Amino acid sequence: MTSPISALSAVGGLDAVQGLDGIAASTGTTETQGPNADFGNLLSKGLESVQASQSKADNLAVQVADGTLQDPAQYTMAATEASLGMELTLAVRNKAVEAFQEIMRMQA
Amino acid sequence: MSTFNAIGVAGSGVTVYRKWLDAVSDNIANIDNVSRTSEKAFQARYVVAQEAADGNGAQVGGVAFGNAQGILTYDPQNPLADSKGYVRRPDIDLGGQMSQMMMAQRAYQANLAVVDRAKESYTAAINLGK
Repeated sequence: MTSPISALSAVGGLDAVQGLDGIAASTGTTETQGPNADFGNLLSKGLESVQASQSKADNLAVQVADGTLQDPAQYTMAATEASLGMELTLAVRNKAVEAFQEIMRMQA
Repeated sequence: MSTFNAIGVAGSGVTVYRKWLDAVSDNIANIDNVSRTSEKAFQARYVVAQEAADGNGAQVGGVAFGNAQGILTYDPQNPLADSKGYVRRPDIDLGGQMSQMMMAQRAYQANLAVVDRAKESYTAAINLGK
């Protein structure tokens, strides 16, 4: 007989997120202890890549302002990439908060 | 390979075609240059496009130069003319440069259209399940 909680095993699909490994190795983060260490590491790596793309876009914005950038499209594309990364971060955060609130509602 | 790879790949194409446009504008700007027969004529610039070294997109591998002989033109009134009355003019065809400019411009726009569509697609993926 299948346990009703067995649906949770579908969370194993998180392994598919391993593609994020290509992102630059994380520096200066402490490893999370506990069963969710893997997910925590993935999350912090993702946040660092968002941070990197945002600072790249910021640098290009400065270059646009002082006129040293040859190709303005480089800035607009970096800004697009940074805002997409931010949206993705927000989507993940919203889902996590949603899941947390769903669990909290269980005791009511 | 980053999370939003299509944008970076199309961006490398944008850079390549921007450099082609730069080369064409250089050629057209110098098309009426006149030089002495003892000197080189202005040589047309050609960008050499190739696959990017990391396999993601395209890059400019270098610049090739056109004919240094140019076209010998009889122009005895010209202060730069030699004793026989000849000067060198660049061997550049304005019609050819204009069609190259159109190709570079359209390809530049095509790569930006790819960026636009990729952004739309990624946004749709992020908004999935909202």
